[in-house]
This record gives sequence, structure tokens and C-alpha cells, in this order.
Amino acid sequence: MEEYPKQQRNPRDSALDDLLTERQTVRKDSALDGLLAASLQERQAVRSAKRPWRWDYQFLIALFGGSLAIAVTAYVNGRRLGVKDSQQQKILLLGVLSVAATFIAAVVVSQFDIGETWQPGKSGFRLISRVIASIAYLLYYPLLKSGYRTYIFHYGDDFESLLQWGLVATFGLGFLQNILAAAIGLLLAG
Amino acid sequence: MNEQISPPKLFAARHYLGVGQPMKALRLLNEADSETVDLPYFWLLRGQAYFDLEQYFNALQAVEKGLAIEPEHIPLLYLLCDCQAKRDNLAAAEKAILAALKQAPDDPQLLCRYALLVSRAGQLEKAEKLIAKAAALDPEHPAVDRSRVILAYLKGDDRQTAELSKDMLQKEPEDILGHYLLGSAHAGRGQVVAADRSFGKAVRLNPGQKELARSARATRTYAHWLLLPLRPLYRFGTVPVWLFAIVTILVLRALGLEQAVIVFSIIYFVFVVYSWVVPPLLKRWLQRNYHSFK
Repeated sequence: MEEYPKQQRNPRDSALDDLLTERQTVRKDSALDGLLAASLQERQAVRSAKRPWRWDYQFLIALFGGSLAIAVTAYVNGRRLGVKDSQQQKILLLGVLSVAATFIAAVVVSQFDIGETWQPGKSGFRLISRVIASIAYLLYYPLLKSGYRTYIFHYGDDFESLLQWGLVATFGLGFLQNILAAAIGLLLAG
Repeated sequence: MNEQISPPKLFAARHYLGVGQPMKALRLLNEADSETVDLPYFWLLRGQAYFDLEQYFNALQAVEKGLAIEPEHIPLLYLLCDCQAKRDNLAAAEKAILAALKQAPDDPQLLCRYALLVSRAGQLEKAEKLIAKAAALDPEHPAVDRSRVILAYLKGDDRQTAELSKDMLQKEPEDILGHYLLGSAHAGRGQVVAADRSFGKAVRLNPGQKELARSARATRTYAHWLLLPLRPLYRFGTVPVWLFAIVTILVLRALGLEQAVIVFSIIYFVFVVYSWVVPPLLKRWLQRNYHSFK
């Protein structure tokens, strides 16, 4: 184990001695199986130039920015954490589904006369939108969990501040989503 | 004369490395004679000393000098892998460990080291297979136990991490990583008091580790009795608690219990403000008043 506390290297000392003494008779003729084929030659380290964001505070983006804001944040964060391509695709798919669910909700409330509060842009609709985004936020975590664990294990608590991106996502992407939902509602209503 | 003095010096340098005094080891190694510097073991110790001092570039240079003498020296290749991994050069680290594995493909320690390296790039399935292969070769090898715990933690399986780290700690009660990962697994399941206990043990075993001390301090804050009302938040997470509150308010409103809505909303508001204000203040107070985990 290379990373953690220094006493941990004591076993390696004995292992080094083992290798120096007992393992002088190395087997150079052993065939390497597929498991020992190189798989990191094209791979960058988990830590890229841009550090990932802490997970907890992203809930505020989901709550105030909505599905689109948290979807984009989760996807970008997944890339920064270096999660597998298949996981990134799932994040993308989940993001599309959550945004679609928000728009479908806008369509539904526009089609039925259930009160002014529930129309796109109003408080009732915002509640629906926030609940969808919060559920999506919960569903992103299992896809990112391993990436977070790997990052924390190797680099500790070295995360990027979410303040700047959080404001951009919450207000920019949140506003864009509300405009689109309201436009869909207006189109269908009239 | 030098031949008589040098081996004890190497032995003493190795001892200093073992007790966490790399600076003293380096001082001894600086006095080595010209014959000693031709030994790969000399460069291994020198590289290890720089590695322990977190001077990875110097460590790398020492390892490369050793490998120039004996290119297939397995411990040097192992240390080269560690140095390159520390420098985030995963490709070079893999080349080094594969060069070592080419000579000793059935070595559990090397297989586990490679497993941890590929796990760092998110290749957890491959890591699992490598550890399984190492376990098949020597199920009792300490590196196998340790790698299994780490992999369970990286996979996010807190239950398995806790079980495996407890097993490992029964064999090696003073394993810092075991206590740290057990603490992390407890923390992941919202068991802050148990996490505090495990982190505390880890810090007592290695008080000099800053990152470990930071984790322990944070957990100690969450385990404080003043944060007892916030335990559901740590146990279930922020979002489920918020969703529970929203659903409760909606249900109470649907049932026409307006007064209950008001009472619940006030209680929840106080809870939220408490969760925002008290933990940072407590953390600051504890930092000022507790400098160690004695």
C-alpha cells in the first residue's frame, strides 16, 4: 500500500527483505496471463488539472437550480473524478431523464386545470421540479461513490470550491430550465 | 575497513527507516563508501528515505541509479512504482510493477500492489481479479488482507469494509490503515461514535499524520453530544431528511392539520439552523481545545 500512514510501510520493509533474500530464484520463464497485461498506458491519474467538487453541497444546486443544473454538475464532476465511461453514460442518461421528467411535469400541469400555483414558474411547480432534482441527486451518488472513495483515499480532502460553479449552475442553468418549462407550458396552453 | 563498517551502516539506516526516522537514515547513507554505493540495496534504502520524506523526485533519482546497477531488482522496481504513483504517472508506475511481476508473477505482494494501482484508475474489476489471484497463492498474506479491505472501501461497500478490517485488525491490532478504514466504514454508515473510536486509535498509533488527524477531529466533532439531535442527518444523509420533511408537510397539509404543519415547520426550521450553525462553531472550539487524541 503506497499511500497511507508511515508505519504501514513496515510490512514493506520485511517484504523488501523477503524479496532480497528468499526471492533470488525468480521465475523468468513464467508466462504472463491476460491479467498482467498493461491497462494504464493510456490512462491519466484520477486527479486531473481540475479537482472535483465535494458531494454534499451539490444538494443546494439540485434544490435551487433544478434537474438540468445538477445533471450538468454531476456529469462534469464524474469526469473530474475519473469514473468509468459506462458510469458517465449512466449519469448522462439519468440527467436526460430527470430533465425530461421536469418538462413532462410542466406539460401535465399545463394540460390540467389544477390551480395557478402548479403552473410552470409558480411555487407549486417549483416544488415538483425540486423534488425531481433531489431524487436525481440521490440517484447520481451510487454512480459517483467509487470515484469519490478513490479520490479521497489517494488525495484526501482536496476538493475544488463549489461557490463559483454553484452560482453559475443554480442561476444560469436553473433559469434556462425554468424558461424552457414555462415555454412548453405556454405553448401547450395556448 | 570500509567493508566492515558499511554493512552495519546499511543495517542501521534500514532500522531508522523502520522507526520512521528517514533523515537519520539519509545522514548515515551519506557517509557510505564507494563500494557501498555500488550496491542496489544502498540505493533502495536511499530511495526509501527520500520517499518517506515525501521528496519523490530525489527518491526517483536514487531508484534509477540503483536500477542502472541491477535493472531487474524487484524491490527497486516496487519502489519505482510507488514513486511514479505518487507523481501521478500511472503509466510509468504500471511499467515498473509489471517489470517486477515479469520476474515474479506469483508474488502476492506484487500482485496486490498492481491491484491497488489499477484500482486508482477505476479498474476495480481487474483489481479484484488480481487480489483473488494473490489470495489463491497465499490467502494469509498480509498484503492480501489489506488490499481486500481497501478494495471494499473503494467500491463503497461499507459493510464489507467494516467486516474485513475487523478481521484484519484481529491479526494485526496496530494496523493504522485497518483502524482508518474501519472508521471510514463506520462514518459511511453514519455511526459517528464508532468512527470516532477507530479514528482515535489510528491517530494514537501515528500522531504525525495530518490528514488522519483532520479526519479524526472532524469525526470527533460529529460524535459530540451537542450534535446528538443531528444524528439522523448523519445516519440517513441530507437529502432523505429534507425529502422526509417535505413529504411530512405535504401529508399534514393534505390531512388538513394546519397547526401540525406550523409546529413541524418551526421544529424543522430550528433543526436546519442548528445544523448550519452549531457544527462549525463546535469544530472551531474543539480545534482550539483539543490538540491531540491522548
